[in-house]
Amino acid sequence: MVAIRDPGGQIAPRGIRGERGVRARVREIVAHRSVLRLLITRDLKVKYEKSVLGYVWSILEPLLLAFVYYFVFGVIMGVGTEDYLVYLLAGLLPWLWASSTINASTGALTGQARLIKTSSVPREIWVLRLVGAKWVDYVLSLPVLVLFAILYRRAPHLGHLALLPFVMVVQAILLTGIALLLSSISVMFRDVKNIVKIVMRLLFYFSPILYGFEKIQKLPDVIVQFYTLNPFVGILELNRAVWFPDELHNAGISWMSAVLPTIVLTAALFALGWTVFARLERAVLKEL
Amino acid sequence: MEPPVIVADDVGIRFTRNRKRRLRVRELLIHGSSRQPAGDEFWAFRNVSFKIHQGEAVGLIGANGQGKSTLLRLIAGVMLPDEGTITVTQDVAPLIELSSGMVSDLTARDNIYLAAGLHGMPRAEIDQRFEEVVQFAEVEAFLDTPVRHFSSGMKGRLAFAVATRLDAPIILVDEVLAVGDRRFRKKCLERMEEMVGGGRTLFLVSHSEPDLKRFCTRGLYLRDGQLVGDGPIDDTLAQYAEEVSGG
Repeated sequence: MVAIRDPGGQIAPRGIRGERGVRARVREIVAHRSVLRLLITRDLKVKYEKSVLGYVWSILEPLLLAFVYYFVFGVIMGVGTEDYLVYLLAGLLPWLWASSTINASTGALTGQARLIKTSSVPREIWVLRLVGAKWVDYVLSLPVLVLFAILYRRAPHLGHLALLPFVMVVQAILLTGIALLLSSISVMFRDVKNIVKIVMRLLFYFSPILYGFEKIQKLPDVIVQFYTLNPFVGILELNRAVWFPDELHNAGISWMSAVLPTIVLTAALFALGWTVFARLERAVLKEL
Repeated sequence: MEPPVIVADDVGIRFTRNRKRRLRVRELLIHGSSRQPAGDEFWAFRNVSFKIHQGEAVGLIGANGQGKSTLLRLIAGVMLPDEGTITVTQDVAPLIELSSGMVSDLTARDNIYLAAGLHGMPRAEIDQRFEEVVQFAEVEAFLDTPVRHFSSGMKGRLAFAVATRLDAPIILVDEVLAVGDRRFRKKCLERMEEMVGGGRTLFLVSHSEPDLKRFCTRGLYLRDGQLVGDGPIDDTLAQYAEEVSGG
C-alpha cells in the first residue's frame, strides 16, 4: 500500500467547468507555502552566500544613487530640503523595492519556464517569490537609512513609525498585483519588458522621491489629480513622514488622505492583476 | 470498487498554429469571450474521457504529434485543458522532460533539494532520502558541481532518481528511458517495476512495444485528436500496428 501524501489542493478538478475560484486558488497557494519559503531562501542564498560582497552590493545601489541625487539637487542646484540625504533615502529605499520588483516581474515566469513546465505548484508562487525576495532585500537595506538618520540626529515620528508595517503590507499587495499582471502579459508580449523599463524610469520623476507631495499640491488641481493616480505617492509620503512628519502637516494633509487613494488603487490593481493572471494562465502554460 | 484516481471528462486542448498569438483586452478581462477558436487554432485532441483506478498501469500509444505528451502534462497539472475537466485525487510524480527540470546554475545537491521541494517534500524527508537519490543517480563525485557541466545522461539520471524517490502514488513517465546508457536503463526499468508492484498507478508514454507490454495492462490510443482505443494493452497495440501497416 502506498502512503498518500497530501495532494496540496490538487483534488479540485482542473478545467473549464471546474474553473478554480479565488478560494480554491488561495487554498492551493497556502498548501504550497513551504515551496515559497524554499524558493525565497534559495534566492537569498545565491545572492548573499556565494559572493563575499553580497550584502554590500545590495546596499551599494541605493547609497550611490542617494549620494548622486544629493550632490546634483542638494549641492549643485541647491533645491534640497533639510537633511536631504536622509530625505532621499527615506523615499529611495521603498522605491527601489518597487522598481526592482516591477522590472524583474516581466521575467518572473519566462525566466523560470523550465521549472514551471515541470512542476504543478500554483503559478502565483513564482510571482510571490519575487515580491518576497525583493522585500527581504529592502528590509536589509533599511539599516542604511537608520544609520544616516542617527548621523543627522533625526528622531523618528513614533506615530508614523507604527504605521510603517501597515504601509509595507500595502506596498507588498500593490507590487504583487502589478507583478501578477506584468509577469503573465510579458509571456504573451515580449515587448512589455522594454515598455516597463521606460515607464518605471519616468515614474521615478513623477513620484515624491526627490521632492515632496507638498510641492505638487501647489500646482493646478488637474495636475494634482493626475499625480495621485500614481499608487506609490501615498506609500512614499508615509515612508518619509516617519522622519519628516512636518511635511505632511505643512501641506495640510493627514496621513489618511495621503494614503487613501493609494489603498483604493492597490485594491484595484491587485484585483486586476490576479484576474488577468488567472485568465491568461492557460495560454501562458502553452506559450512558455 | 474504489473511486478512480484520475478522471478525464471530455477533455480537449487547442494550440495556435501561428507563433504570434493575438491577444485582445476583451479576452483578458471577460471570461469566456474567446470560446470560438480563431482560424489559426487547432485542437490537439478533443472529447477525451477515461477513468484510471489506483494500481493500474496504463500505456499511452500514438504516432508522434498526437498529443501524448500534452495529455501527460494535463494529468501532471502543468497545463490546463481548454475544454472539459481533469481530476487527479492523488499526488503525482511527473517524469516529464526530465533534464529540463534542472536549474543549470545550481549544483546537483541544490537541484535535488529544489526538485523534491517543488513536489512538496519536507526538508527533513529529503535529508533522509538524499543518500539514496545520489547513489541511484551515480553522481556522488559531482554533488557540488553545477548541473550545467553535467552531460544530458547525467542530468536525466539525477532527475529520474529524484522523481522516483518522491513516493508519489501516481507516476507519469514520458520517454525518459531514452536517457542513460543501457546499464542505467536496466536500473530504471527495475525501479519502475518495483514501483508498479508497490501498488502505484503508472502512466507511460513510449514507442517501445516491449516496454509497454512489460509494464502496462491497459492501453489508450490517441489518433487524429481523438481517443480511438481504450482496452487491454495487447489489443490496443494490435489496433495501432494494424492501422499503421494498413496505411
